Amino acid sequence: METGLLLLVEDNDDDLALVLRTLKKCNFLNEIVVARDGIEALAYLHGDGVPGGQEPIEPTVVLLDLKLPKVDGLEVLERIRADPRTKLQPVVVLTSSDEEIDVVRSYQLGANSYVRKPVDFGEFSKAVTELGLYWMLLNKKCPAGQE
Amino acid sequence: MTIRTKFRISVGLAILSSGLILVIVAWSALSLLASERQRVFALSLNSELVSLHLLTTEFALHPSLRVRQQWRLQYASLSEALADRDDEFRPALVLLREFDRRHRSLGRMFNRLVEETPVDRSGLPGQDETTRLVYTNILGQIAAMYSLSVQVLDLSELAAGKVLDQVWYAVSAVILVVIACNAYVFFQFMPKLVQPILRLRDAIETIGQGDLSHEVSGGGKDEIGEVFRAVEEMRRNLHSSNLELQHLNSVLSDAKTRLERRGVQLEAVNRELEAFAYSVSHDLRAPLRAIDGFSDALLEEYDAKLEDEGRHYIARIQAGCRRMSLLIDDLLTLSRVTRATLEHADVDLSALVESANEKQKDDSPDRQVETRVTPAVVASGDSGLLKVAIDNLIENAWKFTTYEENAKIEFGAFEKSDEKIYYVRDNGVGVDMRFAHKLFKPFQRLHHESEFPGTGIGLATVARVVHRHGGTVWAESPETKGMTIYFTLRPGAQKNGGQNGNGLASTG
Repeated sequence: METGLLLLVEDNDDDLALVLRTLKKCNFLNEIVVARDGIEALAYLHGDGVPGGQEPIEPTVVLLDLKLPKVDGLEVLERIRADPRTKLQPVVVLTSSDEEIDVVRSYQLGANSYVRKPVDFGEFSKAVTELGLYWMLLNKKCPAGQE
Repeated sequence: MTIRTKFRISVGLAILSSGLILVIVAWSALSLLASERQRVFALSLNSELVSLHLLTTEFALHPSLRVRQQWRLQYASLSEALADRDDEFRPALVLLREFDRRHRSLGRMFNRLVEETPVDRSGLPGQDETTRLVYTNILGQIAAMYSLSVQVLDLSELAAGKVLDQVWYAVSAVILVVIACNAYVFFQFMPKLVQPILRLRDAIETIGQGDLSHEVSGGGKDEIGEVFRAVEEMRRNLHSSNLELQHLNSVLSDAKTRLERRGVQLEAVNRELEAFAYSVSHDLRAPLRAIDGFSDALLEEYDAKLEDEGRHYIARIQAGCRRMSLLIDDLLTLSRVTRATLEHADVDLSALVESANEKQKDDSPDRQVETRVTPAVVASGDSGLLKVAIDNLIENAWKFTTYEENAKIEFGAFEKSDEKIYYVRDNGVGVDMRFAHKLFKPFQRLHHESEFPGTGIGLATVARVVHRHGGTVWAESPETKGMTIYFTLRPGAQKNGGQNGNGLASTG
């Protein structure tokens, strides 16, 4: 379980704190990388413009908020799919909205899943826990170089 | 003068001239016949005279009884021929009178010759002076008569020629008159006939090309003049209706422009609304989640430090969060129902009701509710919006029958004055009909939140869906016991289905 990496793209401090708290509570031991906006998320994934010139990371799953400063979530998703290195990267849209346009656009752009953040914290933590378990443990990623 | 009169005159002229020619021809034929008879008569006289001349010569040579007899017979024959004359032929009258006289004298001379000449006496004539004189006189008389008859012959031929000449002149004259008349008709009438027609053609062409202000004037008192006046009246009518049409067109075009402007404004408002709803959907939920989430954290991690009252307050905070969340969800649904583009299809309302009932049963498995759903009630409408409406109606019915022991919820449809009316009926608490007008307005509640939880947006959403379909919605709650919500869906709503609606409707 420790081998996988989770990239959490979230600009809201409260949501970030709540997600991290939930994951901690369910004994989620994998490394969690947090990007605070779309540019940062893309920098982590594609390795350009990251402070310190790091290598690009290869997360097991990306949890992507849609409403982000600078570059919004849908555009991040579009660029992830446009880049051959991250074309098959599992991306789960995790956002407050259930507007039809968001859901449709997300799937059109190649999201692997769309989850609405429930307001009720009980439901919210249940959703985050299940997402973590499913994508980090159950789901099998496409082997590198096979795309 | 009308064209008809002109036509009659020219036809009359033609008939008259033809008649004239006929008369001339008939007259000339009669004249020719008369002159021909005269010619034949003259010729017969000639031949009789020749024979008489021969017999006279023979008698002079052989004054036999036989010849004398023959001569008298020949003389009688001449008399006969002479009697067969036509006194109508006037030019020959004088000549024939002379011929008569000589004829009579010839008879007398021959008698004298017979007296002078002894019968069957042989010998040459002329031996006797007297006899020879008589004989010479007779021959002379015959010659004179011959000359007369030749003159008659000439006269008859002359007369025939004269008749032919006269016929020629008369016919020529008539033909000339006819030609002159026709020429007059052609050069006088034709321009008067054709020119107005050409002018009319030009005028009609101008009108046909769209210049309706071109006045059609002129035209005399004849039929063409009538056509002129009819065309002018038609043009005036066309012109005025065209002007009216242009006016209407400009009014319409103004209205269209206004409508387009309104449409653009509406679109802008709609876009704004959409952006607003989008923003609400994203941004209003996040703080609520934070309040709820950190309240939860407080309860979990600082439980020891909290007293019962503190825990109670936190529970109140979380309840407020849930309610706020419901409000946001319902508001977004209402806004979505307002913004959505309607896509009409046949929607099975009965199926929607069944599935809404199922959901309610799942949510409150302890409740006993008798549901009656008329099967196969189909309406034309937007399936998504109708589902929202039905879900809300059924949810309400279940909610307001919460405290009813024998809860009954019924769905059906019936027809009234050609309109399909759908209804959802329950036997729950009902509403005070004095406040019924508030039922379909958002945020208006007729019960306390503690009694029946809800946001007060559900029926407003139903009303919005119904109105967007062009229908109406109303409620009935007799004696504040139970409630029926009726609604119609206008455009093409009465398509099919709901055959059993009437039977059910009659029960209420």
